[in-house]
Amino acid sequence: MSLLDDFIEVYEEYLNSLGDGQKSLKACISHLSSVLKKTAHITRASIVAKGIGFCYYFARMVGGLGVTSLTYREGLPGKGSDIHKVMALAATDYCHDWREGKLKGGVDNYVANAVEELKAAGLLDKHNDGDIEKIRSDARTLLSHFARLLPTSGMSGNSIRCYPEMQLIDFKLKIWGVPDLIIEDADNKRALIIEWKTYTKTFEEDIIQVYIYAMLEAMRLGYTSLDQLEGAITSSPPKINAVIIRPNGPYTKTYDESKMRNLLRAIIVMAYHMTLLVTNPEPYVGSRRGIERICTVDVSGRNYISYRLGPKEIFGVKIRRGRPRGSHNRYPCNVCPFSDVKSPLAGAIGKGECKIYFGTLPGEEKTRLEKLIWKFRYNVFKQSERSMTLYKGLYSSINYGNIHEFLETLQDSNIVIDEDGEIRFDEEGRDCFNLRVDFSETLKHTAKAIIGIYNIKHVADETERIVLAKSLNEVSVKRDDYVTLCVPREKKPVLVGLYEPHVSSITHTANIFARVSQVLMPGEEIGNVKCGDSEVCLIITPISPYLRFPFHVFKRYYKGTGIQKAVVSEVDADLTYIDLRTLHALQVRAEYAKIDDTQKQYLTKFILNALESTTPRKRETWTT
Amino acid sequence: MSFTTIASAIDFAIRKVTELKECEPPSQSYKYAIDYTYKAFTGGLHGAAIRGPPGTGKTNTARCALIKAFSYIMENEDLVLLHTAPTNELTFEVFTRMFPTIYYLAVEKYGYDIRDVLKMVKILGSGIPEPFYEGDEKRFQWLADGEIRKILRETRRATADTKFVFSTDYQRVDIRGKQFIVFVDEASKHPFYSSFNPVSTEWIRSIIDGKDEIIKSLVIVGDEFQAVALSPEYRGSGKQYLALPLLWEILDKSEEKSYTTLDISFRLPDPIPEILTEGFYRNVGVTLKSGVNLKQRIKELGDKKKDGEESSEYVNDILEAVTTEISTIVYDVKSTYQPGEFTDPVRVRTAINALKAIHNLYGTNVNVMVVAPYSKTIQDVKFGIVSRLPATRAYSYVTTPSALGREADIVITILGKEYPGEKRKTIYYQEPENLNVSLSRARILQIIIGNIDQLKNTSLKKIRAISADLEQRKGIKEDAIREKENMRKIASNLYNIAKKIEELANDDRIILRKK
Repeated sequence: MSLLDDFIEVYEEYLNSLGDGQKSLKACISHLSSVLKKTAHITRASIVAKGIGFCYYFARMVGGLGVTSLTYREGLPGKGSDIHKVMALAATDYCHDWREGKLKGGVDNYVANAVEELKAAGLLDKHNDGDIEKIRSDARTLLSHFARLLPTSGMSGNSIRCYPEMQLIDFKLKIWGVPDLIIEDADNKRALIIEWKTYTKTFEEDIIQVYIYAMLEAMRLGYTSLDQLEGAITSSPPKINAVIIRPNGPYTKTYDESKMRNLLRAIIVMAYHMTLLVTNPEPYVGSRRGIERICTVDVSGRNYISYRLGPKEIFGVKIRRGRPRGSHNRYPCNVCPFSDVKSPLAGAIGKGECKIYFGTLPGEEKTRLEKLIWKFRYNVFKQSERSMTLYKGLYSSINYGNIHEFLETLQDSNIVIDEDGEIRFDEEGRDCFNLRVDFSETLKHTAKAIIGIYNIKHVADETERIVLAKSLNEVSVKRDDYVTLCVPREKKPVLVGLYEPHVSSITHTANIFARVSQVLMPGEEIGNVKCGDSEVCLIITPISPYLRFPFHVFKRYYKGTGIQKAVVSEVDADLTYIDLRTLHALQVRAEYAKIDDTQKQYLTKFILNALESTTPRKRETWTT
Repeated sequence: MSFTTIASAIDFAIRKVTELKECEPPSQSYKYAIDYTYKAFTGGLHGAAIRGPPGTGKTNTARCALIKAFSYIMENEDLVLLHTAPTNELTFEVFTRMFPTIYYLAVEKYGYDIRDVLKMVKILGSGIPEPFYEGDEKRFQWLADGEIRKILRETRRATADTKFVFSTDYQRVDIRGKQFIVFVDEASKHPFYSSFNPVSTEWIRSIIDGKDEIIKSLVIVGDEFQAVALSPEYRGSGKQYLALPLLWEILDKSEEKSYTTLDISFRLPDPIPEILTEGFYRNVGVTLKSGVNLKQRIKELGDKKKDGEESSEYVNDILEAVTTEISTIVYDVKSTYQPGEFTDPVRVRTAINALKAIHNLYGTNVNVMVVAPYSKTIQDVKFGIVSRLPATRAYSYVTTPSALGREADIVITILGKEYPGEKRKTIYYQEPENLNVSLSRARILQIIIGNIDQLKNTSLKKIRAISADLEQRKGIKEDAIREKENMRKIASNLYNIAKKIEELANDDRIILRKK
């Protein structure tokens, strides 16, 4: 049985626990299992952590609906706060020097160097001296704790590696997470996860979050069954340990083994639940109504759809949740940025975001504008899923056991990966698209990616630029009387991951999301980069000004591991979080327009009124 | 004009712009378009929707409205004109075209100096060129001023002084206390909501601050017949959720009715507008006309190179087109794409030869764009050229979606798969708009490389097959009937295009060569 089957079995067990009121439980589970195996949707680690440890509704708003506010914005990978950026650089440099036994001064020195590097690159959000001094001082405190922890952590020797802000994407767990720092001993399949916190109190969600990262790291290290994975985290001493470093010192929460196993299983269930909430099951199992019907569960005399029903308890782990329709003066509502007592919106429209989304009763009539917003939102979910299919295809390299074999196969022939992760050789593929993800049976979508292993020719110190190269012979394919080049296409987004032999999936490598800004032909020269006469070069640069920082991180992966090769694959950019943010703004505006009769709602009111009008429209204009 | 930095575009405005270009509307539809846009800019309308087929002067319409509305915008302290476009390239291009007008009006009307102007104009996007290069102060005298350099560095960030923002639609314009006129350019494939992406945070903030709604009006300019690379949700009947159609509907349902279609192409010489009308615009009752004096344009090509040593059939074809004032050459190839293939050696070779002929005749004095629907084809042509001709910026190689909003003196269009496809629909049957975009970029000479016979025959076959299917409607579901009718319409449009090309060739209005 595969690990994915193990995970699905955990989810099945959870559905079973919902009670006897499920007439078609077996059919429901079979359908959901199919959806979970095929979907390319994935959930962020922080959403799962908040969903269990803070408030389930909060997690749904942020993870599923893209709700943000002026006081709360979900961070994107690579867009951390200033203190996190400083710690990523300082702690990694310290860790590598400590490993080598060549520390260059005390922690102050490492923090100062990191701050200088970030300042010089214009990557600090804060600019005034007072703020920067505060960052420096906080970083010194955290790094001192880290420096004291390292020698006692059990992680030592030349084989350890330190990876800051590593983006781990796992389609079995269905979680995408970016731990602050991983110290890894791949030879012994051991690791230490570190999270930096700038506050002294440790919240339950923080503890859950580090254990989610521990699970992702277990996947990276190749623990291939649920028992092994749980064992790696629950054994004494654990193979994979997790520590939160706060201003008042390191913190580790230890549970007894069975409680810890339940927590890990609750994480799996919550990740699957959040994934199913944004997945349209129709392409995978036929009718949506059909699956809703067979997945009906009777709870206290009312019918719910089991996979959409917000869990209250999973394997004994209590799921925290506020009361959307009730008063918001108790925890967690009284500290939630979307509640009536905390949301800045409440003063203007009488309710916070939570009540806007969860405050109405089912069946309440919606305006056409509101219906349109939901229509758009579902479209965004679909778009988001499509943009993740290439990642899912790349993840399938895990089925080969290691990246090396997967890439060897690609050298010889093109392959197709379908929604089940099944790999076959591409009969149509005379072209040089190495990988084709084929979701045509379900999402009516296919995507192609050119993949290759490149030598890392240059990683710029001063600017955010990586130069990769490959011999012309290796990328040339003779076609009749001309030659075609099989290299990633210019301007395409790419995932550039270190070629780490011990890692089994490309989405588990120490990687960076960037773009090919230029493909240099043999002998071509740009700035101070000259491509050799018998090679083709790729210039890799940030895809957006917000994603420059990961280049500073990648430089550390490169230097810290000494690995000279990178796996480069074309991928799609997922910008749907921006769309969801806009739809949230439109939803709030629409809500306000309903209650406001002044001219303050100039445009939205106009749109709302026009759409509600019954004047017939010239629809025929819009057909092709 | 093409500029490599923000400073070089500004320098052009400072040194070369001594008067404003005329804004005489060439037809009634332009008069309406300028008037609606002006009213939307000045608070007289909530919105305007302008459909602009290729080269119909969409940006110029906006420029003309801006000239009329400039005083209003300047005198309303908190008002900001936010102009968005879908790509970095388009955003920068629109900036280079609008900035001279803003600069001229600000300096002439308001007596501003360059510092003031630069403080109020911003340009945002992930791939916008650098403000200037070190050492540029030697080229541009005004850049020697340290304060100007400092202001220019801030051009890519919206600040409190901002009055005019040019931005891609995935950037954020978080400036507090402002009101925005949102002008969405080239909005052919935008879902409606994405018009608000840059100001979404401020849109909520204004509620919290108890302020009036910050978006004062919405102007959307685009053309659904150029909507390419759409996600499936917005194809077919899903088009009604795109920005232009939905705003059109909203305006239609309101009292305002402020929508119109521009109908004269100032880019495309005859007979290309006739081909596009047959394929696309006839469906909505629009006949696209050309406003181009081809004879004058041909003069822009200049004299052919004296050392143009090699003569070839391609050289002869181009010379014939130029001397007889014909704007279109069609290389009707027999080859076809194999299933699963995205490049065709015959077409690639023909494109390389045509480009070599252009180089042989005009060197790099003209700009040439090679357009194809598949990036693989483009990569093959580019690689083939790099090994044969010296590198030049005058020749560009783009896929159809990237060609949107761009133009060149000479365009070589390589057609995609002309047949409908068995299991999966091929490109033109999925999105016929690709054909519109790729045939509407040339200012002087359009070279088409494709299998016209196949386009005509397979589309006709498809029309007949669908018609036969629909005659026996029994057992076909409502959705399937709609789908089939839509497919028949697409096939008819493709057939009309192929037939029109054939007719034009018979009338000697285009040059057609069998390959």
